[in-house]
Amino acid sequence: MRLVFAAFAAAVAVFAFAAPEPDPAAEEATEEIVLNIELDKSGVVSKRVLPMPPAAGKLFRRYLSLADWQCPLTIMKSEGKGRDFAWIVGRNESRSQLVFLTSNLTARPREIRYLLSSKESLTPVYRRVVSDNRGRTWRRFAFEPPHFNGIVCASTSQQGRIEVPPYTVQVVFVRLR
Amino acid sequence: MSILAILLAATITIDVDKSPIKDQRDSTCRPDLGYAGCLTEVSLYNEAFPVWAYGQGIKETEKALRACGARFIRQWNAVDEWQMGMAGHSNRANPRDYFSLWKKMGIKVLLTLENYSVYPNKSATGKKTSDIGTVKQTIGRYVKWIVDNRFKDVVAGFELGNEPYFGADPETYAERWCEILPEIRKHWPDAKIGMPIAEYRAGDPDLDAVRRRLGEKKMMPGGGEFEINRFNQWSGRFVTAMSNEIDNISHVIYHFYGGDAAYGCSASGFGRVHNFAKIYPQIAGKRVWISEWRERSDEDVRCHRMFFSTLWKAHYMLIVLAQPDVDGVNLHCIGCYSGGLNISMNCSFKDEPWRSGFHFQSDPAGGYNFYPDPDAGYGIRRYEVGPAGPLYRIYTDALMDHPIILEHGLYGKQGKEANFWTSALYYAAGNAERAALARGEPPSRVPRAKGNVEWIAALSGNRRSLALLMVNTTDEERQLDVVLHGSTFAGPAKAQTVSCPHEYVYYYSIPAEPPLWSEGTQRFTSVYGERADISIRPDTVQVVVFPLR
Repeated sequence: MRLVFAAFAAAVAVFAFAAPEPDPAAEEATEEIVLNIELDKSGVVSKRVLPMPPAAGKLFRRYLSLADWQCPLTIMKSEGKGRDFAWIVGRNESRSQLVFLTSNLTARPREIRYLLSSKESLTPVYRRVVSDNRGRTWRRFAFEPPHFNGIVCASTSQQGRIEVPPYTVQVVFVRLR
Repeated sequence: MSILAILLAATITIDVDKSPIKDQRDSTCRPDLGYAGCLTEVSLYNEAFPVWAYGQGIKETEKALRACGARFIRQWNAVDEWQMGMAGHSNRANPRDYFSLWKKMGIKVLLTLENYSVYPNKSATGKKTSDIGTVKQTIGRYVKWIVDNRFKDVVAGFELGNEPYFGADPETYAERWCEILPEIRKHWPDAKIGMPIAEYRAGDPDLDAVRRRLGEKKMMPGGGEFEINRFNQWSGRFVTAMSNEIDNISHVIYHFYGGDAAYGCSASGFGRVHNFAKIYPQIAGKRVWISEWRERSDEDVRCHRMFFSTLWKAHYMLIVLAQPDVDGVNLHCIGCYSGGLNISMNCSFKDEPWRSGFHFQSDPAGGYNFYPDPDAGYGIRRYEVGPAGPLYRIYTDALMDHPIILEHGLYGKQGKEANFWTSALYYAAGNAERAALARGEPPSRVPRAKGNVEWIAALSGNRRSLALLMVNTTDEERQLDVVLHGSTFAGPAKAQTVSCPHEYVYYYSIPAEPPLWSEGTQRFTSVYGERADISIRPDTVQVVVFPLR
């Protein structure tokens, strides 16, 4: 009897380990961050620090350099220390390009909705370091999302919105015109 | 293969004794699928890139050309490039260097000659002259240089001008060529020579792009059908005015832009070729070069970075291979984002300082004229394979070994005429899906584009090997039962694939970042005598090679 019970307990234990964990990300609602971006505001050159684990940081370094090279002036950033979620907005000297640097080390998806004081934005270019296993391993993933106005790519459909999925560190460039 | 899969499998029947659609060994452009451009044109940006590409960076160029399947290319403004290159201009490559590399690699080049003007001196400086005697002698010297240096086997043919229908009057234009052509034949009697023909429809994207480039005043006022008639009439007048030399013309040349059914880069284009030959029987029976093609013109170059575009290109290329009278076709162009290579170069772009960045064709939408290269230091030039590169490589590799184009078909029999519309149908369906995604509709609620499985069967010269060039734009993996007549399979088949997860098919790849597509290989072992079972995954371009007994 003891043997049967042990076998049953072992089976339950195996089942418990094999059962997929519920994905908290699937349950969490997207948090929206709304930013009013004043393009005329002067920016500062400063060291940009975002929370991220070393493995992500190693992959992200080249994107950070790119952001510093292309859009060196910081014009806005999230308040507080932000251990698991933070953002920075930068621009270039000629105000023709914005960059959003974001770090989201939580299971909660976020979305930045921004309003520009002047100019219009073109489709964002995402350069992302992402984890598919809640931060255990990281990989690079860069893209422009689908955009189309029925004839050509120059669509405005994605303007003013930056996706910040769970477990991502990213730079997102947005050209302005 | 499961019983269900066997029941659902479509059958491809191939008779190796059948008279083929065409034999690419007869074409000077073999393997016919090529690119417009040859990297010398990058000097357009006042950049010394060509000097590097065919000088210090020639090994990287060779590697890049192989990686993107560049076996047939096209050079714009060949005589100017030759004159300036031989004179040692700082931003022009030495013609000996690039011709030698192409010869070594077995690359074929279509050379575009212009008859408007040439440099009158060896230094290729100062004002160019349009004096017909000097132009004729200079073009003659150029052809002689090719012959004397044993580069004839590199040259696929000569093109009598790039899109002259946007400029000169056809009678004067033809008169000048009729003067020059005997000089070319004097040095190379049986050279392949093609004349450009314009045959447009209203709304053609290329016309709009050219209008923007030239300005409205240089185009026929009014636009619409009136303008179209002007271009189409130009071609008719050109053919008539070339009557003295028409028998020495081997090819007619078209440029096709626009992947929608109405435009040139669909079965409509081939219809126009045939209709024009009915109206002007002087050109009937001549073979065809399509020396530029693309599903959009300059108004939308970025769209080519989607794998959707690669899948569309695969459909179109298979249709092209199925046209008995079409030889070479050149995707515009090798060095921009629609083509085979992303090029990171040290170059000054408008409003930008000198930087390393990825070359990009003009983007009227005001978007990214180039992408910064996060890895290359100041002044470093490098290549990476572009979105069309892997497709070109696997198709052209297969065609070099299998030049006999036997058969063309779809998944399920729809009839020969319907087979030629797959690219246009997929283009329309894909754009509908893409537009819905761009509007922000959730992917789960967006109806998925349903294309087809399209294939070309090609045979090796010794009939010991068969290749299936394929694309699958349907929504699921498809099983195919291949039945052979006139031969038997000699062993397992090997496949090369280029594939993209459907969720990324409409995403735009970014240069210097991991590609959104992946390449792979596969073996099909279910091969029994005259039958073989193969499959192809969705959103996949594939080549399957079968050994034959």
